[in-house]
Amino acid sequence: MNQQRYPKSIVQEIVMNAGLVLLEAGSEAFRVEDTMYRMAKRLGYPNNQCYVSSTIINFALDIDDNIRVYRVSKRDTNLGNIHRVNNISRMLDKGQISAEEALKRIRTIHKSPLPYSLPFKMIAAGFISIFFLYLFSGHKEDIIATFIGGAIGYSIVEILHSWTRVKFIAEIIAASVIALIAIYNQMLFGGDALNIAIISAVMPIVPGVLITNAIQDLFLGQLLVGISKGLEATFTSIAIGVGVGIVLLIFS
Amino acid sequence: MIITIILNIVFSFGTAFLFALLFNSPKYLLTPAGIVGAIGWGAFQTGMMVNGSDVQSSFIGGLFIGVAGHMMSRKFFSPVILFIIPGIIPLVPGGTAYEAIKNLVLNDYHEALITMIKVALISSSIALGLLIADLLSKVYYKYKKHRQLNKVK
Repeated sequence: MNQQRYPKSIVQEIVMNAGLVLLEAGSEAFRVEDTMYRMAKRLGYPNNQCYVSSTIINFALDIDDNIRVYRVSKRDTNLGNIHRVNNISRMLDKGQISAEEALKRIRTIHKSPLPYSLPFKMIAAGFISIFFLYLFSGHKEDIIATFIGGAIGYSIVEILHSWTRVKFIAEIIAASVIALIAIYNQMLFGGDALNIAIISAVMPIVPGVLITNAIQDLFLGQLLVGISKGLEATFTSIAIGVGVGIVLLIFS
Repeated sequence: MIITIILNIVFSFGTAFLFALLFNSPKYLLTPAGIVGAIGWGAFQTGMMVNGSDVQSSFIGGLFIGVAGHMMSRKFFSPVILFIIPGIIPLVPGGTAYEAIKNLVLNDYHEALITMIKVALISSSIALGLLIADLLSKVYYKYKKHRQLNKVK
């Protein structure tokens, strides 16, 4: 192995930015720590230490080096960024690109726009709701209502979250709008499967993946991350349940 | 019967495919993620037909999704999380979690408690299935590497 020691500032910049992108994209804490450790080791610093929780990254390049801290304020799921960082890490490991090139590529990831536009995603969320209506054995009368409810609910969460940075309120509003649409549809077309229609329409915004990820992190020994992710999932489901429940209390 | 099976496969493929799209996955990885989701839902439904228990069937579904995800991950050189997260979407109890809170709001504490316990059990059994699949794949690839090294000698 031709292990070449790169200057400290570049290596720190690469490793911290890679960890930040991974954590903001919703990767498991275990994978973030592993990637950071491997990159720093490959660039010539095998004694590095890192500690990652779901809101903060701590990283020290060597035993006698300063500790650098990044705060992580936004978290969502962005699988494309995880894929790109993994690619860069693998190319760096094989020696296909230099450290400067890797730093340039990681910086472009941070600025790059999302690959799909919001209206396109809205339609996708509507179709997801229809598919879930079939998988949960719902009724034919609710197809239109679940499509509209799923699409509108998803877009309300996305737009309000990007405007206000408070996810709780966005989810309450989205859930109550979905429940209103389902109840109105039942008034128009009849049918007795209100519950299944609401569950299918709510499906694009519920935190199912978060719950499972939290328990997976707990199994792997990342106790703090597991607990905080579990709390986040609980709050999301409380928001959605309260939003639907209030509307159901008023109208039935 | 056959139509039901085909429709189930198509719709579970569709949900996993579209969820990979919602999570900004690259275009050429959408179809593999959909296939993983269809495999998981098929295993879950087969389990439901054989023993009729949510928790055990979720474990089987998680195991199949984990194994399929690791195979896809080796094939497409991408982290396994890109296939597992869209794949477990049809199984995860997000809807059940919402239902538990809704029952709390509607003053039905008895039903709410039962649903919460169900959420905890189902999600931990999926996570356990994924963990076991992870261990299995690690052991398998280590064994393969070991055998190749022995052949060279």
